[in-house]
Amino acid sequence: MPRYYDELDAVLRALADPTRRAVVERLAQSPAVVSELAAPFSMALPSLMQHLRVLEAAGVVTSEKHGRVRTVSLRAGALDVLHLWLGEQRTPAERHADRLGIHLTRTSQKETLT
Amino acid sequence: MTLERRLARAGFTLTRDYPAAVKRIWDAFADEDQKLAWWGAGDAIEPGEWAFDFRVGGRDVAEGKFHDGPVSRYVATYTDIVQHNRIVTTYDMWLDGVHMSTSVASLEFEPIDKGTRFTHVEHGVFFDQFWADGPNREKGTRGLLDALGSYVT
Repeated sequence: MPRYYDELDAVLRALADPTRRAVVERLAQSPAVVSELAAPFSMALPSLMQHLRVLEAAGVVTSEKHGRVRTVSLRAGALDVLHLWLGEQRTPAERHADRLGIHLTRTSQKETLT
Repeated sequence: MTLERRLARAGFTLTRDYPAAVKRIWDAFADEDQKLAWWGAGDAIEPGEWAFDFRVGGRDVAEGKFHDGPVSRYVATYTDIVQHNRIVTTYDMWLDGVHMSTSVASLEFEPIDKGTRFTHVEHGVFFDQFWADGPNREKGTRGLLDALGSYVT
């Protein structure tokens, strides 16, 4: 089994929850402080903190405390493992179709350049 | 260990819309240099035997070894070609000399508003250890993916 599968399991488990996905979607725009993150959810702060801990343990987010304020950010590259896994699940026909598409793009760029 | 004899039969339809005229996509299949550029291999694959004979009854061979994976061998016969419309082949696959599958593939090219709709329909019979996604296939897949990665960059 490939080495990255433990990481993949953790990331998929973390993203299986709609609240945690919403947090990821929010953080994709910019880092946020915890109270700001909690605002759109009708959920007690301890519950949100629990979700953040799952995301942090999976390596999806990181957080830093400055004084009394904790800022949470999406960890760059944290979701690459999903791309990798999805890419490996492509069938030969899909890969050929991808490569044909790339070939067409490359040759059309050449046509434009000349 | 005795090899369990069994077959798996499977089919699929794959449809892609490409923003290119039918003729350009057709040429990617009909012109040997072009076909080699995208079908043949990537940098990660050591190319082996290659044959290209694009006519009804003609035979294509594409053999390659993924850097640490198995040698894959593809041998196809064109059974029907209608210019700018369809290509039909029957083909066989081997991995490290072991017969993996026999398939019928039909490729259809249809002009649409902004390019071409490409429809690939296939039916295959997979033999013995290849009835499910065996470890060899997985290795091969990974090699192909690496090749795609280096092709893109």
